[in-house]
Amino acid sequence: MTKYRLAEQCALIINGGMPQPDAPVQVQDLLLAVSQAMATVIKATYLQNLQETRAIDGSLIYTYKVALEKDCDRNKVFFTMPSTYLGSLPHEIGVYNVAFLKHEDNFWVNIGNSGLGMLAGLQFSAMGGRAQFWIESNRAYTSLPISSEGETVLIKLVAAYDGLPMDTPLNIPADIEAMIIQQVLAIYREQQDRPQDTTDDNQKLANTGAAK
Amino acid sequence: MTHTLDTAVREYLLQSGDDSPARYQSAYTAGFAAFRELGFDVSGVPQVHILELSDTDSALLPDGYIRWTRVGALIGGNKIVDLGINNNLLPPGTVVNNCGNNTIATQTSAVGGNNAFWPYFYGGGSYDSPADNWRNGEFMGRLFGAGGGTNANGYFKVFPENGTIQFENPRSREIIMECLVDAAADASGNFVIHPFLIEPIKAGAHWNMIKFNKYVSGSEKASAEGLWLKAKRHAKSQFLAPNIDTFYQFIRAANSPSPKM
Repeated sequence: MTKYRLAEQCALIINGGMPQPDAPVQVQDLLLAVSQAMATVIKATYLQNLQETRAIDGSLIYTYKVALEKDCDRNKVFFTMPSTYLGSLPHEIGVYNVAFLKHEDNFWVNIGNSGLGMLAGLQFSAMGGRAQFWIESNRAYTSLPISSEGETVLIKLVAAYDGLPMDTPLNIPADIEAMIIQQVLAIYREQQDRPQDTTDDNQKLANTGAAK
Repeated sequence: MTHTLDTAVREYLLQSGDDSPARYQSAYTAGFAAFRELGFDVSGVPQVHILELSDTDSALLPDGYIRWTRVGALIGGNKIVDLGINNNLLPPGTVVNNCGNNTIATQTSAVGGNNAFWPYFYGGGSYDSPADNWRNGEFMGRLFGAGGGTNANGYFKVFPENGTIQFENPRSREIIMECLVDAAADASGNFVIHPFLIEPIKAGAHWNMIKFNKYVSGSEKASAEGLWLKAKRHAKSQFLAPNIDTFYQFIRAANSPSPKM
């Protein structure tokens, strides 16, 4: 399954089961909604399962490799987030794991945006010697020394569909697929129920003799 | 295998259903609070330190010092002799000597004589020195008045507020201090923990994570607190339990034959 095929399936359902080149809702319109619905459904599923486990299904995790860069103004090393991810979850669990590429067993600790100040002077601020990071928009700053610039970081993000091409095969369970389709259809059905402007404005203008 | 606070916290996270380090910071903070409390209540870590004496016979206390259990001078390379307490000593740096240096004059009566020949008598500051018992170039052979409750090995006083210890005429320059320290004062951040403390730290981490959370129900908090207190008591009894060697020594001593009259 790919994002495109999901969007195509939604388009077929919305347009009555037949591919119509002049239908008001096209596959391209639905691609964005599919990405959004994926995140919504996965988040809802996660919250539903919270009593049982906080773990996230491995099929929903996407791994990226990025290089560390240098921010000379702040004297910090950072990496650019390769994609959006499942946000608004406690403890930023959407950023599932961060570590050096060759040292996946030594994960980094997300200390949050005020972490450096909050931890300053505390006995346990070293966090067992683990590297620390915090996310600022599409960048993640780290506590690593400047000399770490150029090192490769392995990032695991939850539901990071935004950064994927539309024809990338996705490993989404069938029940989640069904929920995603329902979510997209719900948005577009509401749109279809609204009064539609079916008048051809060009034709109307021609009949009245007004200048175009 | 060495157990650390890090391993205990990861064990707790895995047991509570996490397989991501997203909650690691919260759990580590909570685990550390438990570890610190256990250190004070249950496991206060005994350590042995060799103190380095300065020119003024003072030394810095070990990091995380809580209280001393024994302070002695090392003599002959393998024997510790206890020092006495002298509450009249001043903390280092409170007296300015004639040279303008911050120091304390602790040498009281060790004047004259032969240090190599009279090492023992030079040890205690309150003793009469051999010079006091020298008549017409001849040692009289007796140190009348020696003793009198003084300690030939020297004296000390601890100043926890300054993080220093002051000595008076210590028997040797190698001072051994056995003391309880706060294990949480380890600045490296990789706190090594005793195996008995793994379960209490997990229970304590859980309790500390929810105790200030107003959205957690009272019953869940009560349950977590009970678990924590039980684990703490259990660890304490584990620490206090005598081991098999202790029992063995006891039996052997009890069966030693009494001397025949």
